[in-house]
Amino acid sequence: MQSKRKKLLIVDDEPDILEFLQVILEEEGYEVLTSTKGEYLEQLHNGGLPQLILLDVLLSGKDGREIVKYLKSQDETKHIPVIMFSAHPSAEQTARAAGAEDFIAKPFNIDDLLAKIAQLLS
Amino acid sequence: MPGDPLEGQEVLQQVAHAPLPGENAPAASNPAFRTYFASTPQDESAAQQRAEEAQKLLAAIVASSDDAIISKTLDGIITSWNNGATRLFGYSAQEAIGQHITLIVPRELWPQEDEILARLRRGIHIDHFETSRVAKDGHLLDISLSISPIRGEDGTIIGAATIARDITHQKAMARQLREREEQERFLTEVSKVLTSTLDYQETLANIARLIVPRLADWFAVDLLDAEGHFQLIVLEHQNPEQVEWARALRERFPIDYEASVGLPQVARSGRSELYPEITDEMLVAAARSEEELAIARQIGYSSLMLVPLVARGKTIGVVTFVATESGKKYNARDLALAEELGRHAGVALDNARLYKEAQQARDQLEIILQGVADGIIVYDKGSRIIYANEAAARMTGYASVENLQRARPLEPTRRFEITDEEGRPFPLDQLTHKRVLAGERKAQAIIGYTQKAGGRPERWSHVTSSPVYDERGEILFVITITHDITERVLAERRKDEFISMASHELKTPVTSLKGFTYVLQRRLRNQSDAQVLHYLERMDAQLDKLTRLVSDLLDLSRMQVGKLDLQRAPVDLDALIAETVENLQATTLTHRITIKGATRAQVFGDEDRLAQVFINLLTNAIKYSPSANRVEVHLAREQNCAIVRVQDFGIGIDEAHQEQIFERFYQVTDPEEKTYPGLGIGLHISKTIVERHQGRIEVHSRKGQGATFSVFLPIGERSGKSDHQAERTG
Repeated sequence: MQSKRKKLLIVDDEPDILEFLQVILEEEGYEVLTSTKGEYLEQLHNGGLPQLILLDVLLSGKDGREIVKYLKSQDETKHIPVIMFSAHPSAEQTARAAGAEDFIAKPFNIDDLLAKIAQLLS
Repeated sequence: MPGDPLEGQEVLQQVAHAPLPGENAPAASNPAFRTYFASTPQDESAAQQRAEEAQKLLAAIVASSDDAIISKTLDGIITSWNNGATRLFGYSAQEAIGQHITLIVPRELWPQEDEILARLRRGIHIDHFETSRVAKDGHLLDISLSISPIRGEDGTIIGAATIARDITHQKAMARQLREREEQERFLTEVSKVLTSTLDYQETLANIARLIVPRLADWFAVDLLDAEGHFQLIVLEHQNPEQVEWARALRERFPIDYEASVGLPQVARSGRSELYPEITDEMLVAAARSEEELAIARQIGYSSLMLVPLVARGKTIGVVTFVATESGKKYNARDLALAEELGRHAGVALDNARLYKEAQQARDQLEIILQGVADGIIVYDKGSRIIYANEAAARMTGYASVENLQRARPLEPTRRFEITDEEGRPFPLDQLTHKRVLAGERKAQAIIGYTQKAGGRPERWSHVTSSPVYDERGEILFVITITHDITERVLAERRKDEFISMASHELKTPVTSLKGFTYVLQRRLRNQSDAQVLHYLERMDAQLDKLTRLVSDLLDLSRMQVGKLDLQRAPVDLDALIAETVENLQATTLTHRITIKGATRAQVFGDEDRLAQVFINLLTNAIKYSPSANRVEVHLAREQNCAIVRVQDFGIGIDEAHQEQIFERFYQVTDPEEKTYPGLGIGLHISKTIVERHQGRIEVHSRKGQGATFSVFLPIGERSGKSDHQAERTG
C-alpha cells in the first residue's frame, strides 16, 4: 500500500485549510501535495502528476475555473478528476461547467469530502 | 375748410336759356308761371292790369312762403326780405333791407359769398346749394340755397333772388343716421376685435387702439381682482410718453376706495357716470392735495365717462373714457355707446379670463407632470398613448415625448429590450396597462431595461397601472406611472455583493475550524476521553449552526434580487425527512423527534434547499418549546400533494402574528417571546423556498398550545410550470 499511495494535490489560498486537509488526508493514506498558488498546476510535469486535484474556485488573483478549463484542455492532465470547493454554494454550476467532476461547498463535512474523493479514485 | 366749397358742386349749373326778367327764378323756371304771366300784344291796358295783378299775386306768394326769399344787388345789398326770411334769420325786413348780405353769412363763409356773387354776375344759376347761415341770435343754420340772377329790362343782370330753405332738421337727421351707422360700424369692429383672440391683454390693447383717439383721448380699463382691488390693465393715449407719465401718476395717487364717485362707486353700483363737462370746480373738489389738483389741471380734462364692465351680471371692472385735448364733450349718446362697449368687452374679457384660467390650470398641470421624476403615460382603451411626459420618454429610451407617442403601443422601447425582474424577456401582453385593460384594477411590475445589444439590465423601473373609469364604469383610459428604481436595485446589488463576499469571508475560517475540530476528534477518539470528545461534538454542532446562519444571510440577500438558485432533481421526500431528522436528533438532547406516516412521494426540487426548510422548521419547533420534550413530524399525501407537518408542543403563536411571521425580519414582539432571539429570517427563507417549488407553507397555532407548520409540495418528476431558475447560473 505504502508504495501505491494515491497522490492528491490541493490548491487553496488559505494555508489553514491546506494544513488540516493534509493532516486528515495523509491519515487516510493519501500522499498530499499542497499549493496556495494556481500557477503551480500549470507547471505540472508528467512525472509529478497527481491522481486527483482539490481546487478552490476563487484563488487570490486566479479563477480556479480557468485552471480547470486549462487542465481539461491538456492531453496529459485532462483525465485527472477535479473536485472544486467554494464558500459560494452557487459556484457549483460554473465549476461543473468549467469541467470539474465534483463540487463541495465550504464549510464542508469532512466525511462527505472523503467519500467524494474515494468515489472518484475508485 | 376746403379752399373753394363751390368747386365741383353739382348744384352749380349754367342756365342755358335767359331767365324771365324781373321775376323770381324758381317761379320763372316753372312753365305754368310762364304761360300765366306771358304778355300779349292785343290789349295793352288789360295787359298792364294783368301785370299788376300778377305782381300782387307774386308778392302774396313771396310773403306767404315758408322759405326765406331774399333779393340782393350784385354788390350784395339786400333789396327784399320776406316773412320767411324774418322767421328764419330773426331779422325783420326793416332791419335787413339795405344791409349787406354778409349779415347772415358766417364770417368764415364770406369768401364763398363773394364767389357766389361773382358767378351770378356771369349769369350762373345756383341750385340747392347747401351751406350755413347765421341767425340774428348767433346760432348757425343749415340751409339749402337756390340763387338766380335778376335781369333788368335791357337783359343785363342787376341783382339776384335767393330762396333759402332751413334744412337744419334734415341735416341733424342725416348726421344722426350717419353717427348711428358709424357707431354700428364701430361696435362691429369692437366685436371683431373682442372675438379675435382669447388673450385678454391683447383684446384690451386692440380695443384701446380702436377707441383712442376716435372716442377718447385717454382710455383706461381697470379690472377688479379677487380682493376687490383695481388692477390697471390698459392705459392708452396716442403719445406713449404720456402713457408712462399717467401710469406713474396712478402709482403715486392710488385709487381712493372710499370715494363716493369714480371707479369704486361705478364698481359698487354697476352704474355708469357721465361728466359732460369737467369744470375746474370739479377738479378742486376731487383733488386730495394741491399737487394732485395741479396735475389734474395739467391733464386738461374736458369730459369723462366711467362705464362698468359687466360679465355674467357681475361688475368685473371699469372702463374710463377721457376727453382732453380733443375738447370733446360726451353726451348721452356717447355714454350709450360706451356702455354697449362695456357690455361687449365684459363678456369677451370674461371668456378670455375663463380661457386663460383653464389654460393656466392646464399649463400648471403640464408643468407638474413634466416636472415629476416618474414617467407618466396615459393610454386610451386601444393602448394608444394619449399623454406622456418627458420622464416617460427618457425612461423608455425615446428622444422625445412625440417619438414615444408615435411608437406603436406594444413595441418595446427603441433602445432597450425589456426584461422581468429576473432578466427574462418581458411578455408584452403582461405589460401593466395591458393587464388593466384586461380587467385588473391595479397592475404592478418591475421592468428591467437592457440595451438591445444584450447584457445586464442597466435600468430598472417599478411600473404601476391603474384605470380611470367613465360614469358608466367603463375604462376611459389607463394611467401608467413608471418609477425609476435603478438606484435601489443597484444599491441592493451592491448589498448583495457585499453579503455574498461577507459570507464567503465568514465561511472560510469556519471551514478551517471545522477541519481542525475534525482532526482533534480523530486524535482524541484514540485516547477515548469521552468528555473532551463531547465538547468537540458541541463545538462542531455550533459551527454547523454558524454556517447555517451565514448561509441564511446570503440566501436572504439573493432572494431579494430574485436570484435564489435551485438545483432541481427528483427528491425522495421521505428519505430526505428521515436524514434531516436523524442529523438534527444527533445534536438535540432535549427533544425526541418522531416521524409519523409517510408521503411515499418524489418531488422535483432542490434537495439541499428543501432540507434547509425542514431544518429550519425543526429547530424552530425545538427552540420554541423549551418545556416540551418532543417534536412530531407528520407525513401525508393528498392527491398530487405531499404534506409535511412539523408539530411542536410549545408556547404557540398568537393569531395576531401568524400572518407576519413569514415576513422578512419579523420578530414577535411579545415580552414573553422576546426571550427567544433570532434574525427573523428563517421562516421567510423557508416560505420563499417552498413557493419556488410551487408549494405553500401554513401555520396553525394557538397561544400556549404549540404550533404546527405544514408544507405542501406538488408531487411529480417535474412541476407543470417551467422553472427557469434551474437553468440560470449564479
